[in-house]
Amino acid sequence: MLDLNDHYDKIYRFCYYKLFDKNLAEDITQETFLKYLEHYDFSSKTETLKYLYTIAGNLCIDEFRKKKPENEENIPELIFEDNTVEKMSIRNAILRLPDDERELLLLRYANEVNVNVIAKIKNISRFSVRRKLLLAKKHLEEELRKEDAYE
Amino acid sequence: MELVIDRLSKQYGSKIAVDRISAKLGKGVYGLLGANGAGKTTLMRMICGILKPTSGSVSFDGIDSEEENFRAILGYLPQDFGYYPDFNAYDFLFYLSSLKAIPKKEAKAKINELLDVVGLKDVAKKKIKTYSGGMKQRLGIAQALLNDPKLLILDEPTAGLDPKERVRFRNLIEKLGKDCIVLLSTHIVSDIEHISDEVLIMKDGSFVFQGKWNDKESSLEDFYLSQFEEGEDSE
Amino acid sequence: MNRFERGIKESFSVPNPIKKEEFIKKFPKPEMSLSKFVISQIPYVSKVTWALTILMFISVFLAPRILGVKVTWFISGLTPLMALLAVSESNRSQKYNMAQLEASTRFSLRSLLLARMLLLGIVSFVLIIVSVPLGTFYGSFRVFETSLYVITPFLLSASIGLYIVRSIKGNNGFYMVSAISLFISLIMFMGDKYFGFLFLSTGVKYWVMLFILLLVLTIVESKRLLNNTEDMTWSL
Repeated sequence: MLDLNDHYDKIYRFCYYKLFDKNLAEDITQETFLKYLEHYDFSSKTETLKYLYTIAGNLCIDEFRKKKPENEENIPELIFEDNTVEKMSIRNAILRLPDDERELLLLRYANEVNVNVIAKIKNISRFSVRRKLLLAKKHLEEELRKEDAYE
Repeated sequence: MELVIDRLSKQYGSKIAVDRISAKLGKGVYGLLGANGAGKTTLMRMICGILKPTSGSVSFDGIDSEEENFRAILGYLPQDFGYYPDFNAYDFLFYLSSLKAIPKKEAKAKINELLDVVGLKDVAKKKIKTYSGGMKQRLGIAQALLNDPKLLILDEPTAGLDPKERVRFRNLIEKLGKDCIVLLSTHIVSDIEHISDEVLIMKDGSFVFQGKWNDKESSLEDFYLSQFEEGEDSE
Repeated sequence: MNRFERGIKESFSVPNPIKKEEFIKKFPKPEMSLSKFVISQIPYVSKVTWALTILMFISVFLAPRILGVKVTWFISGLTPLMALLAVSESNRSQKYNMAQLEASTRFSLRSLLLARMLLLGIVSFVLIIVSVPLGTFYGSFRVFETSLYVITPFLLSASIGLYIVRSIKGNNGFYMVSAISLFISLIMFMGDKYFGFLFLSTGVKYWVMLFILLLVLTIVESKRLLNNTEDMTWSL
C-alpha cells in the first residue's frame, strides 16, 4: 500500500525543485494524489511510483507553460532553517545544473528512488540512468570547484 | 509510536503463565529471550489481542489491543501455522489480505512486492504443501507485512531457516525496526544478538532483564546465562 | 550512500508543507466494508462443500420422482447433513491451523466465523425453502407439519454440532459431529418404515416444543462459538 505520508513529502520535494513555489508545489502534489485515486490499479510499487512522478512532472510542465518567461530567471534564494555552509554551497551548485541532471540527483539521492524505478519513469535503460547519474555528479563537482574558486 | 504493556497477567488455574509484565516499547527491534515454557508465546498472544489476559492491558498509541484498529496496524507471525489445502503462496496472501481489509487492487501490488522481498516470487504459484520449512516460514513473514504493520510480533521467526535465509531475515528486521516496533522471540541467543536494540529476558512469566544491551562488554550468551544464575542465587 | 551523496541528499531541503496533515486526514483510505467482506469469503468456502450442497439440491428435486409420497422423510434426513456441512465448514480454521493468523487480522476470527455461518446459513435456508413446498406437494403432510419435520432435524444436528466443535478440538470433534448427524439422518430416512409413531398428528405439539427449544439452542450455541474464538487459536 502506498505510504501516503512518506510519498507526499517526496512528490512535494520533486515539484518544489521544479517550480520553486511552495504553494504551487503542494497544490500539484495533492492533485497528483487525487489523480492516483482515480486510477490506482497498478500491479506493483514500481508502476505506482512511475505513475506518481510522471503525473507530477507533467503537471509541473503545465504550470511552466502558464508562467511568463521572465519569472524563469528568478530562482529564489532558498534560505532554510537547517542551513549549513556546506549545504548551501551544494545547493547553489545544484541549482546551476541543467534541469534534467538536477531532477536525477533529486530522485536518486533525496528521494532514494531505486535505479530500476528511475529507468521506468524516464523510459531509459538502467545503464543510461547510472551513466547520467555519474555525469551529473561530475558536473556537480565541477560546479562546486568553481564556487571554491570564487572564495 | 509506543506500545504500552500494563501489568499484563495470565493465569490458568493455579499456574501463572505471565506475571504482571509492564513495559513501554518505542520504535526499534526488541529481542524476547527465554526458555521454552517461560511464557513468551502466551505474552505475545496477549499483546496481539488473540488471548484475553487475566488482568492488565496492552495498548498502542492509546488504542487497546482488543479493538479492530489495533489489529489494523498489527503483523503477527505465530510459532506454527497451517494453510488451507491446495493453496499456493498467492492464494494464501490474497486470502489473508481479504481478512486484513485490503482491497484486491492494493493487495496485488503489495503481494508482488512482498514475494520479492522474501524471495518466493518463482515458487509463488506452487502449492504450499511442496514448500520446505524455510520457505513456509518466509511466507509467514510475508503475510505479517501485508498491512504495513506498525507493530510486528514474531514468535520464533528464525526456526527452520538456513544460514543464508537467516542473514536475509536479519537484514529485513533491521530495516523494519527503523520505522516500527518489532518484538521477536527466540530461544537462540545469536539470532538477536546483532539486531536487537533492546533485550527482554523472560523467566517463569516475568522479565528478569529489560534494557539496552552492550555487545562490547561480553557476549549476549554469557549475559543471558548470568541473569539466570543471579536469579537462582537469590532463591 | 557516500558522504558526497549524503550531502546532495541533505541539500535538497524544502520549506515545510503546510496543507499536508489536512490532506492526509481527508484522503480516503481504500478499505473493505463488512458486506464486501462476507462476499469476499464466498470463493474460500471449500469446493467439496459446494459440490455436496449442489448434490443435495439435485437430490431434493429428483426425490419426488423416485420416492413419491415418501419424499418428506428423505428431505428431513437430508437437512441434518446440510447442518453438518455448515458446522464443519464454519470450523475450517481450526482444522487447518489457520485460526491464529486469522485471529490477528483486522476482521479477526469472529467476523470470519460469522461470515461463514451466514453464508452456509443462507444456503441451508434456501435448501429448506425449496424443499418444504416440494415435500408438501408430493408428500402426505400439510405445510405446517412438513416444515416441522424438515427444519427440526436440521436444528438438532446444528445445535449439537456447534456445541461439539466448541468443546472437542480436532478431528475427534469432527468425527463425533459427523456420526451424530448421520444418525439423525438415518432415523429420518427410516421414519416412514420404523418410526411412524413419531409422525402422528397427536405428536405435532411435541414437535413444536422441540422446534422452539432447538431454535433457541442453535442460536445460543452459535453465539457461544462466536464469542469463544480464542479456544480455536490453540494449535494442537
